[in-house]
Amino acid sequence: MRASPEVDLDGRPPLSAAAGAGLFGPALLSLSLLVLLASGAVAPADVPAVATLAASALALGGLLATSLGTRLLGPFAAPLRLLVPLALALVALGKTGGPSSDLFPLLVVYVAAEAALSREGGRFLLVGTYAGLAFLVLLFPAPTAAAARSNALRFLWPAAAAFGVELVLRWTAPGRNSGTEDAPAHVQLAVESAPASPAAVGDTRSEILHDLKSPLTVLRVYGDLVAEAARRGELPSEAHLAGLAREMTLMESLAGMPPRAPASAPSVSSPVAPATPPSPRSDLVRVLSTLVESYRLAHGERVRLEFVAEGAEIPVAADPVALQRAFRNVLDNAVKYTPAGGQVRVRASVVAQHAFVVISDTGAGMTPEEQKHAFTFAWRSPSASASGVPGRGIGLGVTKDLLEKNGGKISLLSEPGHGLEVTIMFPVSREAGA
Amino acid sequence: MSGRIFVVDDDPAMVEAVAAVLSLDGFEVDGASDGAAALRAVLKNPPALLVLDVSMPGLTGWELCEIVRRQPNTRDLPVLFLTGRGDVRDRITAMQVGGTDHLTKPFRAEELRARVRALMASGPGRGES
Repeated sequence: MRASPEVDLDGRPPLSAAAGAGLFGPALLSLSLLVLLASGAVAPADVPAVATLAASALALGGLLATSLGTRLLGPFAAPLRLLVPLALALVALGKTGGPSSDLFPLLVVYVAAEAALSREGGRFLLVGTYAGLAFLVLLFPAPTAAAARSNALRFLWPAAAAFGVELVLRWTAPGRNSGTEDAPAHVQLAVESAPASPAAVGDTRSEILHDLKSPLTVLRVYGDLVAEAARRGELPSEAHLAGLAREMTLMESLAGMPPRAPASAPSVSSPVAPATPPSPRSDLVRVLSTLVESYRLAHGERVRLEFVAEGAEIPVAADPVALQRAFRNVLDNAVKYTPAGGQVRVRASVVAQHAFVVISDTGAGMTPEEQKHAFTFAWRSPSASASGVPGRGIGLGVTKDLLEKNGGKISLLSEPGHGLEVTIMFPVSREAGA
Repeated sequence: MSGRIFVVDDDPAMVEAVAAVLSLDGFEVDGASDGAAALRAVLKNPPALLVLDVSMPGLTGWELCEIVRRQPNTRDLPVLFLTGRGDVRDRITAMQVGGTDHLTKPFRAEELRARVRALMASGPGRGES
């Protein structure tokens, strides 16, 4: 399921991924080289040139992406770590004979394995590979074997130097892969949501626990206030009881408990009959415009966010806090799963006494099977997990509960590859226009 | 005690809960659920204390704090961070960006009250509580 209940600085692969994966490439290439050599695909005389080219590509790419890129480029470091050596390998391939050369199987093995094992940038890598190969086929004539070896040797010294620098940096600063202690504050800001250690990466349980802290705090605070009132011999405030009940409802949703009747404040026996608390009322336009503006500030450079409302106000009988949480979860998903340059549209309208909010994106969408499980607690589709986008798979389930407890309904419409459209419906408040 | 406190958290329930605690102590409490709106409000009318969540869409609490620290009229504003991540690295970052104190979620009402009282009593400045 594509879901996340809390807003993070998302779309960011773990910082350790780029550096950690750096060790994989050389090992894979060495193994591939041995296989090709054993099978006779590469002549023994060509091994030094092939090894040099491969090492240079990996060393230069690794140096750029892991030693410098992670600090400077944040989420772009991991794709670069794959793209840069690939680009260099492609150039080297062209210089040594193009796709018809014996190096071609080596490159294919490298690309396939990296794409399979590296979540981040796998798709970039494949697209880049084939685009690069097409480019080389068109532009580079196949040189003689002697020229190829000569070209290869030109890479030797800068490659060796780069590889050495990378090794020195890696072994002399073992903590840098997982820590940002010495990074400037503005860089640390960008990694606030990143797990603190490689062991924590992908730890769904710890992420869920983190997401529980906010509602747990609210619950605890209202509980304290009610207890303090009791110690003073006073009746607890209706507002505090209502807050307590609302957070209990949210915690029940997070715990995967089935929805019950709409929440209300616990009754308090009192000699004076308490006034019936007014029905909660929210303005969808106000809630959504504020949220979209926040997301535009956070993600506007990457994704275009648009909000259109039919009317200046669309009142619904729903708790504004629950609405904000629900819409935030849906928006969060839309932004996370929409690639750069894509669009997220939020439309609010009223049709026949029903308010509709449609949040559509231009992301990867969901298969019918994924849609079937989308509201299941803590379920993520294999494609969502493989995408590398952080998520715990609990946001949409919680959203559904929050909406239903406030009289709303949610449905999904999607065709894989053509984005996702989330429709949320509420009865319009009878006090509309009052 | 009295004084105006501005609370910023992307979870509006948290803003309400913090306001519920602090208003009982006699503080006037305003709040916002997104960093940009909060920044505008704080710069326009600086409160006596700023209570900031760290993880928010738009401006994060840390970024907001850094901006506030650069403005002459809010440079010495006490800032209390509320965050779900309480490891050493986060506490250090909170201080690096100019935070005055740091409270890890989940916290108790009394703990929040005590920190706020201490910060309000010490007045503008960057002192640790």
